[in-house]
Amino acid sequence: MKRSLIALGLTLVTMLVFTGCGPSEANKVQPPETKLAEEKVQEEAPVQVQDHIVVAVPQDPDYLDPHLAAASGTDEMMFNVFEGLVKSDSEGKLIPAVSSEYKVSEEGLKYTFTLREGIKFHNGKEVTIEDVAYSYKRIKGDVREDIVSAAFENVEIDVIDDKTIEFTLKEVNSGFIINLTKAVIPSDMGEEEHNKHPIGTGPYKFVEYIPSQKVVLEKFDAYWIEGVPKIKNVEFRIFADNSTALMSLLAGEVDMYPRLGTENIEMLTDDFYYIQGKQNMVQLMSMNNKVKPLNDVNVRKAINYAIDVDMIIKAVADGKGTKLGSNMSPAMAYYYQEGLENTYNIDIEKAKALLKAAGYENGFDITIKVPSNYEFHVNTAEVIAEQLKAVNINVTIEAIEWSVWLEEVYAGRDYEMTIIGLTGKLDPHNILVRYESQYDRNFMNYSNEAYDKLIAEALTETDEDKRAFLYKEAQKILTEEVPAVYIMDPDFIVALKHNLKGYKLYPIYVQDLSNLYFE
Amino acid sequence: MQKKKSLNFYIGAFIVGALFLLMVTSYFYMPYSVTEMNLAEKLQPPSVQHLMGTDHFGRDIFSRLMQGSQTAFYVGLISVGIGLCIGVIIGSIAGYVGGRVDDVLMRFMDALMAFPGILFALLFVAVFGVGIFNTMVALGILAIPNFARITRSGFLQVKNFTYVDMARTIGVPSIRIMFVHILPNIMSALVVASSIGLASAILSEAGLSYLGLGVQPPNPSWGRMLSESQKYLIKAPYYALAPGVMITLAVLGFNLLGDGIRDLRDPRK
Repeated sequence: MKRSLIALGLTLVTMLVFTGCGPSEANKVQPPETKLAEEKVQEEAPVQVQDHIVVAVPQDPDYLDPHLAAASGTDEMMFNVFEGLVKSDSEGKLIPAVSSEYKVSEEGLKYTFTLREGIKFHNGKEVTIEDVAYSYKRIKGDVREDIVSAAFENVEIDVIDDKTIEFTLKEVNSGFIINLTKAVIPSDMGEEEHNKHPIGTGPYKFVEYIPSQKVVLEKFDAYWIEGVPKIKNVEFRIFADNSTALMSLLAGEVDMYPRLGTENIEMLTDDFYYIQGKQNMVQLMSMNNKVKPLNDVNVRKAINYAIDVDMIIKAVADGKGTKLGSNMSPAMAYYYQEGLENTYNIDIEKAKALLKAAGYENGFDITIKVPSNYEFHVNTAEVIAEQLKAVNINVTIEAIEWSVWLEEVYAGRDYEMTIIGLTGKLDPHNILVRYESQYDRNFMNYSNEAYDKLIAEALTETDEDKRAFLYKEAQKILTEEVPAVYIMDPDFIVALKHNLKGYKLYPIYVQDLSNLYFE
Repeated sequence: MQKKKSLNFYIGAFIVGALFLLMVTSYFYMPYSVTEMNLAEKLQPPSVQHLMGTDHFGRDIFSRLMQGSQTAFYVGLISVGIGLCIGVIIGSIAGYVGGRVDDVLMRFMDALMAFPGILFALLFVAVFGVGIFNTMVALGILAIPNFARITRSGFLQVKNFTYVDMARTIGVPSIRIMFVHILPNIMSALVVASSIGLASAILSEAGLSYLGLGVQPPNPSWGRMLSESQKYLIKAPYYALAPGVMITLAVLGFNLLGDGIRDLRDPRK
């Protein structure tokens, strides 16, 4: 026992000594140019254009069957394999994909789609209108018991002729069309086949999936956009560990690494470059609006005044984030209300005055529950705890497991304050409905009649400009009433090999590989 | 009795003494605040101002290590205390009473010992919530079987000595015999076990905090610092090195001290 413990201790020392030395040498490698030059010569020796890329991803797909898949990590890869009647472009606008055009009836209840001429599945068969109808009926829940989508609940799906399909809604829902980005798949495959060897219409076809290793895709030659995609083979390699992914990138085994941490940017050598941009996420500190003393709007305002968001962005994201003032990222340009982000610039005096007015002159104790697996949010909590000391609010941080967070905070609403990032949606309704009084995932416990009315009105509004106006009004209410402190949209950073070009950031969690090419 | 020398003892006592001094000092004086953030000085390498550099929020690592030593000692002492008290009681009863009682108690201890330590602690904090208190209780429970075994074997040796029989014949109550007449005989074994128990408790606390289940931020703990530093391992290796060395030193120190005490007390040497 004692021997082994000592041995363990000694091994630890040696390990630490070695890890301590190794990296510091690696650090020194960066400035001298000779070494870099050497590496470059080696790289350039075989002059030929690469026809395959390796992309680092953090997790396995949950299902290959596109109608079963729910994880955004799956969408990230399979965005290249499947398409719906419409799909999102890099600005978040919907463009026709399997359909060639569509129109919405005047009263907003009927959506009529025309099938794209000559569009083919990966197995070479032409897409028929029956395939389209089958796909959406399958999502609706007509085919299998384990696939049921509430989004199609009151929707009738009718085939008009062999080129036209019509969706009829019971009531106007301006966010409905988003649901038609879901995959169109062949109707003549075995039900289980979709999860084993899926077939779609996207720029890449599925080749194989080896669990916890890789997902392999190959160029689909008959894709409906000529000349797309450009790279022949794609491998999504699964790295559970970020530092392993980074090492593989630096070693040249990986060509593209989405989600590079800001702290690692300066490790990229000249062989790489990175693209950064908004990811349509809203990082916020929710304050349970039904719990004392946070039920008092003055207290919430005071907290907001006492928090220095600019400093959080600097401390936690190395300055690579966009300051927010309401629950909408500027990535949603058309619906984003500008100018709200500076409403609560840090003002300790004002915060103290507001607390005094609310009867909390001497501050209070409060707990922030934060999911322990998101270091980003834990760090944010640490900075906030430090900042709130200035107004005598004593913060206890409770880092809890993700599953516990989901149960206690997200579903159970049993918390005082929490920090989380709300991932982006294409439709503003899906983003802002979180604050609607009756919404079952309104974990802020926020309730405001005027707000509910705005959201309901916007949902049935068919004029896009008016709709955007209503959503902007809703954002103003959120800023005014502070159900949460809105922090930032952290930048999404993608590291790429220096000669890999054509990457576009999306406001949703996908990697579009179809436009990538090597120079 | 001839005075024996033990190198282990001196090295162990020196390391533990130094750490103890560091811990005591931290109550009165620390170079910098452990929570105040200074972003201008983020991830600075060791320098005269910051002996061990600064962390990702610009906090002084040395000060945080000092404060972390409080946690380490605190958790170590309390959890070993829990294990010692309960373990001695269980071991004494098992050893003194014997028979069925002994069987039942010791099989229960065996079961507890067979359970993987870190898994038990994980389960415990998952059920009762994270935090330093629950960590101490979990580690304390884990320490019980070891102390119970040592106490029991000591009791088995001593309980049939003539003086114990004498005491029993003149009507000394059992409790008094157990704790006044027998227990002092096995004190040295318990001291050794406590020292080594402290080492493993400190290591386990660091492990739990590393996993985010022990000490909660912003309070510094060596294990937490180690996990925070992991992200900056390449950019700022000294950050990981500092808490790593502290954990190693503490574990090594207490182990050597325990071994040293054993060497000194062992009549066979």
